[in-house]
Amino acid sequence: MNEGRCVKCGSCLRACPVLNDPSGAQFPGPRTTGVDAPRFLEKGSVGQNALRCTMCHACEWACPSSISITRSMLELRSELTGERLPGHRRMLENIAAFGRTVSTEFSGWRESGERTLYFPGCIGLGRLTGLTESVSSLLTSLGIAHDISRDALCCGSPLLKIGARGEAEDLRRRNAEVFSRYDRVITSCPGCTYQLREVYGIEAEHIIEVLRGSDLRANLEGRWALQMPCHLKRGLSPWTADDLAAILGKAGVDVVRMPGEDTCCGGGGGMLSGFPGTASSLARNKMEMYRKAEVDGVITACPFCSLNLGREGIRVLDIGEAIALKD
Amino acid sequence: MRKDVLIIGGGATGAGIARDLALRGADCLLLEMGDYCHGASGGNHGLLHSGARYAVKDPLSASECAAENAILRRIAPFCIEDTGGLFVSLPEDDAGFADVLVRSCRSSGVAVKELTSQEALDSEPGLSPRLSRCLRVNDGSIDPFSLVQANLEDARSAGATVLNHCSVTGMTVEGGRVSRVEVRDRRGVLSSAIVPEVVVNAAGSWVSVVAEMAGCHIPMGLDQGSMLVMDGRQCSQVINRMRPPSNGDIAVPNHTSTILGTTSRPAGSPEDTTVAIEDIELLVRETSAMLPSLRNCRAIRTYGGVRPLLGGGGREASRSFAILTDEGVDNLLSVAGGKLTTYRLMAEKVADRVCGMLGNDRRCRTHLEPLGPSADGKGSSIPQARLRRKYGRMASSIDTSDARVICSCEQVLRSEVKAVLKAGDALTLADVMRRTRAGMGYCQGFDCSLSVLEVMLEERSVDPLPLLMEFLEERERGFSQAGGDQLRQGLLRQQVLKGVYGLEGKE
Amino acid sequence: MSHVLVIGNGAAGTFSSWLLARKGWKVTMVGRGTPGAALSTGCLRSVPSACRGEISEFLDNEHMPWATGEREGASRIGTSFRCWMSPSHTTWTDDEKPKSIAVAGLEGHPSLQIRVASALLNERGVRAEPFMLPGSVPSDVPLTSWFRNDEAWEELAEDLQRSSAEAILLPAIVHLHEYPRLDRLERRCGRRVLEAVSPLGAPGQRLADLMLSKARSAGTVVWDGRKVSALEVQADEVRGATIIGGSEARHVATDAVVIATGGPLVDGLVLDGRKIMDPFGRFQTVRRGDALRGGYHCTNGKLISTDGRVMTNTVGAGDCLSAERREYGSGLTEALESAYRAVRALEDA
Repeated sequence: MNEGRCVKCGSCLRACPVLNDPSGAQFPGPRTTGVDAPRFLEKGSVGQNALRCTMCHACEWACPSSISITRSMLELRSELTGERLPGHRRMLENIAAFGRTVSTEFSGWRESGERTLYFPGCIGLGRLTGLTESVSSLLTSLGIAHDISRDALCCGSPLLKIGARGEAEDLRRRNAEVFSRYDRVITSCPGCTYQLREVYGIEAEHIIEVLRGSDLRANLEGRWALQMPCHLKRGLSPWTADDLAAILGKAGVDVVRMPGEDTCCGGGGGMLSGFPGTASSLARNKMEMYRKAEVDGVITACPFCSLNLGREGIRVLDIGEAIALKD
Repeated sequence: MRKDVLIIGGGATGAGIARDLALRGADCLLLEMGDYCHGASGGNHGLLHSGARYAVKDPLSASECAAENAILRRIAPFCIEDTGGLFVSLPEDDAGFADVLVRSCRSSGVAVKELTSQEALDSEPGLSPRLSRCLRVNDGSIDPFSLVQANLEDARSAGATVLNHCSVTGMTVEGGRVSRVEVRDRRGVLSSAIVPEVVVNAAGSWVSVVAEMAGCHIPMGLDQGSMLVMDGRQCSQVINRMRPPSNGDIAVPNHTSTILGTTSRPAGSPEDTTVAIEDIELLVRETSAMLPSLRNCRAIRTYGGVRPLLGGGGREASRSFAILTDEGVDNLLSVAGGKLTTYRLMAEKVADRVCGMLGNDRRCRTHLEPLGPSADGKGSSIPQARLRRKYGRMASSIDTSDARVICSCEQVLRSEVKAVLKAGDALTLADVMRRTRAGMGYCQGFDCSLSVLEVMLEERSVDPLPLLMEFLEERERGFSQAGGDQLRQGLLRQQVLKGVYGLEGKE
Repeated sequence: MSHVLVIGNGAAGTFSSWLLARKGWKVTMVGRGTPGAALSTGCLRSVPSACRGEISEFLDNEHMPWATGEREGASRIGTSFRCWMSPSHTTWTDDEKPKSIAVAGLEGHPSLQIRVASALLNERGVRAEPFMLPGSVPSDVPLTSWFRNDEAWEELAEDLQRSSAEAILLPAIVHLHEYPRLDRLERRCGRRVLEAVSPLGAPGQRLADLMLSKARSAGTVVWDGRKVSALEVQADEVRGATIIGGSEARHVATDAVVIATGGPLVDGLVLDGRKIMDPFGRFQTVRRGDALRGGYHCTNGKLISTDGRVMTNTVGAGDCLSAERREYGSGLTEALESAYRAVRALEDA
């Protein structure tokens, strides 16, 4: 990793949404965790507070020296000594028991041997089954026949985020067989998309990439702001994030743009299960911004964003729920 | 002021002697003209020698190193990184040298084990795959500042008085002995002259200068060596080149960096520590042959040290030490030569002589009494996990309830700086740096020096600007020839310090 | 309509984009990382000669009024900072010089070293006293996060009542849209409120945010977090560029290019040891005096290719250009002026 490039400009500190929230003052910060800690023999002692990070990549984007701060922090997570946070322990227990981070509530499995797999991810199959159903209907109306397989387990990304490399690799091996049955894999979670591409080597597509170029409409009244998911814009591609706005605009949604739309919602990187208080605090910061803009709701493209922002009382829709095919 | 023993010099030798004598009940005063480790003790490679490097040409030094290495690991584990070491030869090196080295090690009691190339690469993945032969030895990485502080602390606890920033300005010789020593104390604590029974001249490269004050002539072969500090630990073990000792043979992982060394040229004076740009090129070229990653690594700073060698000096000179007396002055002992690794043995021999002169029949205990605990490297934060490494048993005096970090590069707590300033003998920002490591990291004080200065102003009334400029200029001398990312750091530094704050320094 | 690709999102990049968009060009501005402008003090050190009017219009905004003329301020450590243009609370003119200042900050926070600053202010003849605000904030936490809402500012106003100084010097704790809080604090305390001139903090970020929003509102398409990795040159023109964003790479065609990537500090130019190199490998980089003040050689704003051809559609602006003599810290004005010259060169082509 290129931590040796740091010139102590502090741009990462000013870009970090956690450090810029009072609840995040215990977070050592991206520079200590991602740039300085790796130099030390004692890096494993950096402490649990090093996990108070959503892996939003804001620090990486701000860095003039192009240091892969987020990747460095991810490496550090597998070196941490000390006890696991309760929420992370529970996640691992769930994975060991049934292969997903949260209990599965979804029941609309489709196992018809189609060539396309829709992979909703653990949150889509657990907490936000409505999102999954909407995306599935949308895919069907686009003429994309697809399976939703109960054999496809957690992609492993949340496990990497808590430094559980072995368990993540286990899941990958089990999932590889399932994925090999399909020609095309579509996801609705940018975290899953990134994981499948980078770690599994599969050309997975996020739903936005599938919707590009289609003639779509939205039956949405009112003004809608955007929550640009971190792992979409700063993980997959900023152009795909631009597409989120473009697709909605073309479909007739009154989209209200604002500078803070791509600030982290607070839900990623293990923060939601590890430090729910900080995750809430970050979500509330976003709510303040949306409330000031007096919008009717927020449209996003990530189940974690939907989940974390949804808890704060604003109407959040996934793009799959906002969009239908033009008839 | 009367004293049994006046020790001149606060490097490893002087500190070791003060500890030894104080533990034997002698009434000692140690004076150091700058800050402790002002000379070679503050400008060396940080290498705890296994002895292998001397086995072929200087077997006595080799045996001494091997024995002292084991003793230091036992009594001062906190300041030693148990890295182990490798000797590595490349295809262009003399193939037979490895066998010569193994035989010489065995006969001087230096533990050595041959590894296969695969074993070598497994233990050190960053090694060049071109390596031909490899030996494992007991090298370690040692922090001289922490070691010396612990010796001085022990000496103080046993009743010695220890003062830095206090120079000896003159000696009066009457009746064949030093009767009176004049001093200048920068802090103004010591006002009177010293009347010593015995004077120990442990001034390292200044041994000649000090001896001259008493009219004694000690010729030395001062020798300068250059070191280059690279960012990050680029190896987990000390890596040595397996060939007859030459320049650029060694890479030592130390705290957050890798120290490359070294070179050898005659030094015109104890202050002649200047590093030439050719030295830097040589060090990178030679060491990166063994560890290729060093070629693309960030070079943080250079520094030089002047070796207090006796006689001819140079690479061929013995690293053994000598205790010298002069017929004209009965009570002046000078000690020169030696290595950091054998400081305790040097001190023991000197203390034996001094005690003989004082009629004190107590025996040396410095090899038995621990200097501090081991550093287990565990804690609830990186700074906390490192306290013992830097402060030994004094680590418990740091207030860890305040988690604020003052130096990010080296993860130093604000409380550490406060504690060090409260102790009273840190007068400059560099003094604080030597004790806490604040300012030693890759940004070389750019980020933390103002914060440290602020804490200093909290503790006492000082004139801030001269202190700040002195520190910044000293740091800058170490990277004036920087390239790559350290040059970028320099650009930002200039823009902020010169462009915004308007601090005009020597460029 | 001609398309221009502006490479770089700092002072030179945003100003060129703004100028070009207003003249009817279709502008795409590509940038990544924090620009040098965001690391600056947010003040203009030297007086612009050619385009003072345009600069004033470019920087004009509703939140943060600017003060021009010969001005002086207190740096973060209390030393004197002279400039031509600054946010109004940052600097003063000779007859506005405060008689006494309370240097207010949180203990140990690097945003304002209260004792050091007071000592140095006193040394230059300004009566100053350190004034400790309550609270303990870790060094890496930006103080802006501690002063986010009305309650915090109300408390601050109450705390400041304890001082009798004529003026209060605060660390830089406001973002662009919160700048009016300083006016409100002044009214509330009945005292002048000054902001320490600090680099690497909120002031530079304010300037960068301001310039970016101006470029956007003039119609520039902003491609943030993206980096140009290669340029496609045909004869004496750059016809296209390969741009990388996240894990995607795209190729775009263009009619003109403005290279405003910044100097070696922000990776706009590549440093190999002590040598400056062009990251695109296309243009002449030269050492002039202090080799590190920029690198590209250009004539009348137009970049010169490595074989000596003057590019007809490619201009350079800002820190990436070689500069013979420039005081450290005076880069902003020069960046803006060179951007103006670059745009003129494009228009003349």
